[in-house]
Amino acid sequence: MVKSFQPTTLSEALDIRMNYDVMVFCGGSDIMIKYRSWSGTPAQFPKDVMYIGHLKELKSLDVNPSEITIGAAVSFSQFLNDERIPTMFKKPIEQIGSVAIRNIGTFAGNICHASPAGDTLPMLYALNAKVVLMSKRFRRVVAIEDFISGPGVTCLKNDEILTYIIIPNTIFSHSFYRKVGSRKANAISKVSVFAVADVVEYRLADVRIAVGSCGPIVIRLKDAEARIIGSNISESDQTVNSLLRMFDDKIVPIDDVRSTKVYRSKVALNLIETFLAKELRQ
Amino acid sequence: MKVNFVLNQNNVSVDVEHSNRLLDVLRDLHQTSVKEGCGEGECGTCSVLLNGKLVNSCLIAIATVEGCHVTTLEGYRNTKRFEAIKKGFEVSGGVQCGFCTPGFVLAAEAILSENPDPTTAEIRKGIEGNLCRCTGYQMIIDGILAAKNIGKGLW
Ligand SMILES: Cc1cc2nc3c(=O)[nH]c(=O)nc-3n(C[C@H](O)[C@H](O)[C@H](O)COP(=O)(O)OP(=O)(O)OC[C@H]3O[C@@H](n4cnc5c(N)ncnc54)[C@H](O)[C@@H]3O)c2cc1C
Ligand code: FES
Ligand code: FES
Repeated sequence: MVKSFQPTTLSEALDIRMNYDVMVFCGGSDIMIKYRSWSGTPAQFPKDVMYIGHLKELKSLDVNPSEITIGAAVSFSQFLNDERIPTMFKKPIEQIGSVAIRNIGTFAGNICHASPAGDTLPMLYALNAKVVLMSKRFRRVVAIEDFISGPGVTCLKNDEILTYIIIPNTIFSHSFYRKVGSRKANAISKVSVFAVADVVEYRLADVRIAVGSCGPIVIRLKDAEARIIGSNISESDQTVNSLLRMFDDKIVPIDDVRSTKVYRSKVALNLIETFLAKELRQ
Repeated sequence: MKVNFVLNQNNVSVDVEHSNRLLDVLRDLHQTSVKEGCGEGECGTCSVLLNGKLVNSCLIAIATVEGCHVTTLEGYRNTKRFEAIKKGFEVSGGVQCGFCTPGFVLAAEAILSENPDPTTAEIRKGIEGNLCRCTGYQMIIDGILAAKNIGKGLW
């Protein structure tokens, strides 16, 4: 029978993490499914569990003009209900699961679960978000793209907890998000694209495009972005076409139960094209 | 482990495994309005309000319920708000086999307590996590629209 720990402070949680090999339980919406057992019986966790979803220190949501800092135990609903958060950052979050899932699910759980279909990830990649990892002795801040290295694989150490997520509070003139799933609610993404751009007097001052569910990790094409930054948004469609070819090489989805490679690549490219060729010109 | 929480109006204390699902604990406490449909967070038949927020009790480990307030339909049915929702569902034909109904009633409460005057689109969004195999949803949406008028001032 596995043990459970319910620390009352973050510092106590870090002590436990250092001294015991525990699985961290935040909102539980991934864990409770992964380890569910027969009806009427407890979930079968593979090792001791530490519950952290109740920790006050991790429920804080700080917004200032330069950064948004999200505590690991902040639910998606808490994030969506906060009027200080720009609506463009809420677009992917309001489509996650259903009301009941968003009431318990967290950014931290989504990031640590590191699914290629995790719906917080394309946005976090596009916005150059960082995660704060704390152990009893160290605190390190890691860029999201360096934190996740494959499906379910992160560089989180055994004595660390992901405590905060930091999103630069940058303002963009354009934002775009499309999630393609089998139905509107409670659907795992087949393809998703999050993109932002800053257009100043018809010039593209900044652009970021991230694609989810189309490879082992979220795809962000910085070379392609760099090629169009500075260009005029009404420039010929050839730029868009050559860019799409650059993306095409990097978009490497798989066939699985939810969709096929061919469908995913096609839809991802169509969405990127919609953003570059249509939305940006509006 | 011992877990203490408030179930509707009563303090309860249960001695169970920390990873027991709130769903199973509630059914053992004879809260039979809470049903297991899918067991994986998709259908909403196990819906309860946890500190006033709609959750799927099949996804809640009992250890996390310590000190919380759990509302099931067994408790909610004694309220005036429930009467309004009940009338709304009656006039619209929002109940057929009834298996999904407790979940939809609590989802309706969650919608109306956040916004007493929701639009059809907001109602649709609020019930997105509840499945119904009988009504085709429109009658349930009509039921919630009716309830907000019948119960004006209650939320
Ligand atoms: C019905 C249903 C629908 C869903 N729909 C979507 C959807 O549309 N999009 C989507 O992306 N996901 C969806 N999910 C998956 C899930 O809800 C999300 O991934 C959610 O963000 C997980 O957060 P959590 O806090 O519940 O994670 P948990 O289950 O608590 O944890 C997930 C993993 O992260 C680890 N972990 C959690 N917090 C920390 C931490 N602070 N430090 C270190 N490790 C940690 C845990 O050990 C575990 O391995 C859905 C799930 C269900 C059941
Ligand atoms: S049984 Fe909990 S959501 Fe279906
Ligand atoms: S009334 Fe039968 S499932 Fe909804």
